Amino acid sequence: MFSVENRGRTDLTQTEEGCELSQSLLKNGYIGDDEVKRYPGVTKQVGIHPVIECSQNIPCNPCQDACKFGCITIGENITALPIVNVKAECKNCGMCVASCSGQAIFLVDEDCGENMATVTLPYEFLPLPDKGVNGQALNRKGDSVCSATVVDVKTSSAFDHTALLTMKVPKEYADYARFFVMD
Amino acid sequence: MKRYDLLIVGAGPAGLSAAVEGAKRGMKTVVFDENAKPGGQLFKQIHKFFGSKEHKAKIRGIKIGEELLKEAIDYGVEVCLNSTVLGIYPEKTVSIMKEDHVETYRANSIIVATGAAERMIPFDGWTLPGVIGAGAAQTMANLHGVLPGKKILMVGSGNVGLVVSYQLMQAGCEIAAIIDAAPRVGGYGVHASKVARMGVPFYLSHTIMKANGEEHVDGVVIGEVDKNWKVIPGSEKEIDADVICMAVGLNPMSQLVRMAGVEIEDKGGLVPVCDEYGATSIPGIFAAGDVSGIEEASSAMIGGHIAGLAAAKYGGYMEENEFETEYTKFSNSIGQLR
Repeated sequence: MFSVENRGRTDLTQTEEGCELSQSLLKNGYIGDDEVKRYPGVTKQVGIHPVIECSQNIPCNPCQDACKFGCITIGENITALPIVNVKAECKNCGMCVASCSGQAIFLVDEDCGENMATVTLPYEFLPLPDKGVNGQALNRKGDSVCSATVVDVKTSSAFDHTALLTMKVPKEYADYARFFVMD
Repeated sequence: MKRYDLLIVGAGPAGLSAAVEGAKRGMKTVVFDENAKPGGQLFKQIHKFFGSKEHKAKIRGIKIGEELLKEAIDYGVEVCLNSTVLGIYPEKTVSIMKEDHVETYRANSIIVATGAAERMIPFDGWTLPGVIGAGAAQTMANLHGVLPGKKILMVGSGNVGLVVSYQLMQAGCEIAAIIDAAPRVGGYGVHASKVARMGVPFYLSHTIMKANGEEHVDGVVIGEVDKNWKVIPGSEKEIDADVICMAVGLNPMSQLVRMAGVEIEDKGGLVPVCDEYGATSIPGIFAAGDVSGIEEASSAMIGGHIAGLAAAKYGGYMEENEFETEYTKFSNSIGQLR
């Protein structure tokens, strides 16, 4: 939809593969909670897995190359939406989260025990929060939805200055918690 | 008078890429840039690029700029900074202002890669200190480590507005809001989501009406517009801000090619009419990058490579067969991005 020939068009309602575009993204800047499940990068799985909230056809595919375990597919046409393969086993290495230039990839464990979930997100701000710090989880709109605790902050030269922040939240917020702010 | 095989105006992504192609084939190549630092827009782009591996996806713009500059210098390209090209005259004569004097050169091929400049839209109070272009804010924050202010109102939701908003937040500013007169976010959704999840509100179908303040911006009035771009009475909102960043489009800086007398067309800005190789209507004068049509850095680099190849062929430094092979590679590459 961003190609030179489509410039100025306001009538597009679907992606190339037929997914409905997020109207909330176009009008408010965030994908609606009810819309996000439409996209092939968003799946429900047991155990940790990537959640890719990429909903528009843009020429971009570093996520596919980032995962060495076959979790992410885009294919020949690099404007295709990324697909998360439920049969592949995610090793929680974090390379996909760090490689996404749009910062649209999260690693989610919907039930890590004791009614909690973990969400790993890309974090490019200073100061980096410390492990154990308490704060709030924000949803896609930027509203605080629940308390959150930082359980890990990973940095690596392979991530090229994108830190990976993992927060623990009550499991009913696994599909909503997408940013962290300190108390 | 000193003569070059290839003279390039602008050491940004298009200019440097063109220089690499020309120098690779043995052309005596020089690049002139009016700035103190080369790289054009690349050195302000601290974010990771899109595209695929060959387009340098997931690499930060600054790194891409460093690699490109090194490649050009390794191939023997002369890069002259603080050198403002004043004009392109008949017989491909070019005058350059360097510090306190003017120099003149002849070139067999000229590639104009001067990029684009920010558009402004006037509004009540737009001359108050605190109203700046988003590109200027990006230069202040990313190159000079200076915050343009504390609370920013970003006007324009294209990729420039969205990316600069995020970078200003990284620098420590607060974004009061992102507004756009259009009903939809103009840039990539993922760029918008990054700042939305941090609480930045978007006001689409809103235009800027007035900047308040005596000595400096201290507040902004925005209003909702109807289908005819007219403000709906009663929809005015006051936003607390001390900086208004304008990200409302770019204008190609085509003054030099216009002066040279090439055929021009209006594509939302005056641009030289070019074929797919970047050749203008004057043989030996080419254009590449944003000056030939606003796109982005990745396409500018490929366009620069193509113009460099075309100049090499024009100058007799490349055979037709080799040119076609090389051109096809780049043409496929740019096709993937569009």
